[in-house]
Amino acid sequence: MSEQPRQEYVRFSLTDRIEHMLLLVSFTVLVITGLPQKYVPAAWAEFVIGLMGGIETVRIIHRVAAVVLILESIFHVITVSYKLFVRRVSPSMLPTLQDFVDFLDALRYNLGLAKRRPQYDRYNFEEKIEYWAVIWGTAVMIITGFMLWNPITTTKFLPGSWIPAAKAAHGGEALLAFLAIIVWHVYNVHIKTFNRSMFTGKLSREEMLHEHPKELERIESGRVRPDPPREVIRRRERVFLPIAGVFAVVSLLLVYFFVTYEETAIATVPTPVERAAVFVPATPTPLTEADMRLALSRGRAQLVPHAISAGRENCLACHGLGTIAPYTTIHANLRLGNETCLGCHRLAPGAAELPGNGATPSFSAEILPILQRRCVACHNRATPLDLTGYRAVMRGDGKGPIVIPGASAQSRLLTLGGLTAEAHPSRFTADEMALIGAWIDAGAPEN
Amino acid sequence: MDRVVVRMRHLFWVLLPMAWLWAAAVAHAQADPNAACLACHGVPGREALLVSGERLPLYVDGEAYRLSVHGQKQLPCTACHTTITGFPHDPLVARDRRDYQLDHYGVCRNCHPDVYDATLDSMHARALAAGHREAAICTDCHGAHDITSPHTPRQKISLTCSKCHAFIFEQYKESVHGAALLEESNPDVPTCVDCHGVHNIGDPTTAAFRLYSPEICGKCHRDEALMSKYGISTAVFNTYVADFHGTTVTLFERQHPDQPTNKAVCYDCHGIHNIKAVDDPEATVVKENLLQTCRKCHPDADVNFPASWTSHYIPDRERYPLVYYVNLFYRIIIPGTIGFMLSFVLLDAFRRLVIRMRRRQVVKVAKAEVGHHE
Repeated sequence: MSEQPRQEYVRFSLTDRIEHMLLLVSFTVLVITGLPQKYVPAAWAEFVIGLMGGIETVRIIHRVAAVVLILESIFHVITVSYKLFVRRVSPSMLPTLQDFVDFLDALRYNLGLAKRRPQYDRYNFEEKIEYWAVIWGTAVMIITGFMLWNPITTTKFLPGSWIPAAKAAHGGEALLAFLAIIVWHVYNVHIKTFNRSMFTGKLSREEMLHEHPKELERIESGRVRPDPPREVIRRRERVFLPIAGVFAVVSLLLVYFFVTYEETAIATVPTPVERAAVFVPATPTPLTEADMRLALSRGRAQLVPHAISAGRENCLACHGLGTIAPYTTIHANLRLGNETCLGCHRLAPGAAELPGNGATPSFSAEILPILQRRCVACHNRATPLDLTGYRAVMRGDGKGPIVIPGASAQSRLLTLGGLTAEAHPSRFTADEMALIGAWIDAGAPEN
Repeated sequence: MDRVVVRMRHLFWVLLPMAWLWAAAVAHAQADPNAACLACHGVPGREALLVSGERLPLYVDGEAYRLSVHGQKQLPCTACHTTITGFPHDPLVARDRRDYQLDHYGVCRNCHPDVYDATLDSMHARALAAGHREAAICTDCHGAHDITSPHTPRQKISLTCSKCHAFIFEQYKESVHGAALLEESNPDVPTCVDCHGVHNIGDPTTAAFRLYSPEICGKCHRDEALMSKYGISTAVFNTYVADFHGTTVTLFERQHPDQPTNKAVCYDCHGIHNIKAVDDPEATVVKENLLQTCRKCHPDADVNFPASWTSHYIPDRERYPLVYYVNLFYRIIIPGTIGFMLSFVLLDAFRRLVIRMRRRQVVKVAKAEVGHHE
């Protein structure tokens, strides 16, 4: 009686089962939150997204589940390596020629051309297809997912069209994985026979006989390679564990980078609000003699503080709409040349030439001293906006760059710190504005 | 019988010229019911000095009034100037000109209650209520004595707005829409009111407006008949919605219409009033300027980044071939793989079913045999 064969056989260790649970949960959540995003114009997708709390919430859940899946994948690499390199179990999951033969035999049997179904070992070809499909699918999803999560970083190395291609692959692979699970996995372990071994860890002798007869035969005939002795395992672990540790740390750092590195693709900066001057009554154009006399007599027309020469013949180049020092809104509908401006705005006595003509101003010799004089008292290394050096200036602040090379009119360095910024405590003078503007328009070089 | 008819004919010929004369007399009297008013107010240069020191012109150009929509309907002056009941009338009480206008524009409601009430929820009414006396009232846009159709010619609409919104008009008139309107009176391009509404002009700076805005552009840019005239693709809307920005904005609009978002809407990339044709070298979305446009929201974007947006094109062999081939790959691989799995699974299920039925048959036969023996 004591010689009677055991009734239960261990199929999956606790670690295997935990891994499966992690995969099960993260995959399900990813499918539920992911597929509606793929099919978003469809009413059902919109409904599902609404149920889950809206698109932003769905995206966050999707990303959290993605991180769980990535962590599980890293864990899987370590556990498989442990089995292969420390315990030196045979790599029974690798596809072999026998699997192809089994597949043909199974086909023949199902078509009624053979009387006996193929006899499977530990993993049959159905299980191997499933496993390798998961490996392939997860790899594709992690790589394309990274590209979608970090498009700015990705396009630093790859052409832009790889991002929509990654999106196409992410969606296609998702649908493939979802359908494969529905068809292959659900049929094979839930419908054909309800295989509980992934939760209990065990198969009964009858189940073994039916599904893995070759493995059962090997076990019962004692042809199973025994686990190596404990000292051997200890010795191998001394090599394996440090390597696995380093791998784990590096992988976790990569995941951390993956999740946090790129800010603006997900959060982006707040939308720049274009607030045009709304109430701008049209003035009669051209100005009448009477209007001009009135403006002059009331001293309203500002005197021109700089000489008008050398590339500054056109007032509107600097003082027109949308320029660095735009004229006040009451002139909004003026489309006139210098003569008209100068009709009211007389040259200030002794007005000197504006700096910055011709040559590109030097950042270190001309621009930086202005910033040091006007800005760094408040904007230094201790504050979000740092104006103490070239790199810091070009980096900008949390809202984005403050200098857009070639576009002084759009650069916030000038629009916020400029002549028109009434709320700002410190302001550039007209000369300083002109210098900085010339430097930005020359491409903001580090010179 | 005959006699009666003849008599009636006579009567008819007698009455006709009389009726004619009477009608002419009435018409003459109605031709200028305002002659009495114009006797004083038709004199150019007449003005009243107001408390503020401002001069209120009292002159009304009778001819301009006759040509106006109200003049053509021969409305008397007193239809609007309801406080005037006879001559001499009470002296004018108004601190300044604007005071007079603000006091009197309410009479428009007497005949035009629908549009008048529509303005009550507008930005103009809100500004007025907040104490901005210059905010537009009926007469600021339509005029008073010289009211003609507000939309003929079509550019009159935007020119009307430009009276107060000159800065924005400057941008609009350089835009692809504005130039077509002002230079050729194009019937298809939007005027100010096509996007902002007419009498109930809303606040265009709210989150709700932002989320709704793609629908405003879509009104025309989804219209196949309209767009084909200009060779513009109507895929622009669907390709936007299918992309990350558009998905967020569309879903927000339907599910949380007041939710602020920083995801780009049409005008973030194309511009608002200064929108240019996509092949205009000054366009914000033309290839040379696109990176700068992307950087408005993605400051760390690099030169390759703009190409990650498929520019409203549906990828094909020429444009975005990589995307096209990835899609093609999955269009083949998904039915291929799932088809293989499904046929194998169905075959397997079929075989198992057959075996189970055969076994049952065997058991039944065996049972029957046992019963027979008993």
